Amino acid sequence: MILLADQSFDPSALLVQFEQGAHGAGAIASFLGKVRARAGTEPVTGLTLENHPVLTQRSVAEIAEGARARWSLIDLLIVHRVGHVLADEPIVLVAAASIHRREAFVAVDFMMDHLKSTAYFWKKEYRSSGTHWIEPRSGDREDLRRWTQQD
Amino acid sequence: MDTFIEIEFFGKFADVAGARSTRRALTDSLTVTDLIDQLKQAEPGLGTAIDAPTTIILLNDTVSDRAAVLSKGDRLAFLPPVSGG
Repeated sequence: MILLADQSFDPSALLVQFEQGAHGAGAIASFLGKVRARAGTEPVTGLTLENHPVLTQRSVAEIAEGARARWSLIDLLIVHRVGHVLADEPIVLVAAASIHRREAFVAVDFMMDHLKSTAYFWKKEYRSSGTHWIEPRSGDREDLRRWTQQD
Repeated sequence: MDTFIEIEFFGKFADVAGARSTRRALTDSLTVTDLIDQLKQAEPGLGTAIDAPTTIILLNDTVSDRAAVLSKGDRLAFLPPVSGG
């Protein structure tokens, strides 16, 4: 399931639902990302995630297809917030179900690296000093390179 | 009656533009590059921002290059690189 959520979501409830639907899985790995309450030493009250009405959904679907093409997954889950998200709230939930644990672990890692660098989201951070658009980081590109170097 | 091109701005470009969208008159053989040049003349801050090599240009929701010739009814969008973070 892929969901772009414009409201807060309950990661525990979504994971229970995912686990119950993943028949035949011997392993489920998941990652939950939350909005950090600080940028360095500066307090952050929240983030606004802007998306594109067509490309964002398409880019997230391509990431899911990429994971399915690389590993034998029984199911996968990507839930990503759009709109305004308060500090400490969940922003992204990714899960993968497989027969053995290694594929589930690595598929979650792959999907997160790609969600950070290839999915169409723009993040505006609300700091005590004002708003700040988050720019791409070299670390994100290096994370992404790990997957192409393995090919 | 004039024909217009609809232009959308995403992320920080919308902040620089002060709007999510605008429109410009369509002229014969108008390319994306021509339109960026028009914007640079009219709104230098915005024009310079969207002229960055990292800008993603969409024509009718498909990634486009700057040589593309615009037609009646086209929707053009300028997207900054995705955030990461």
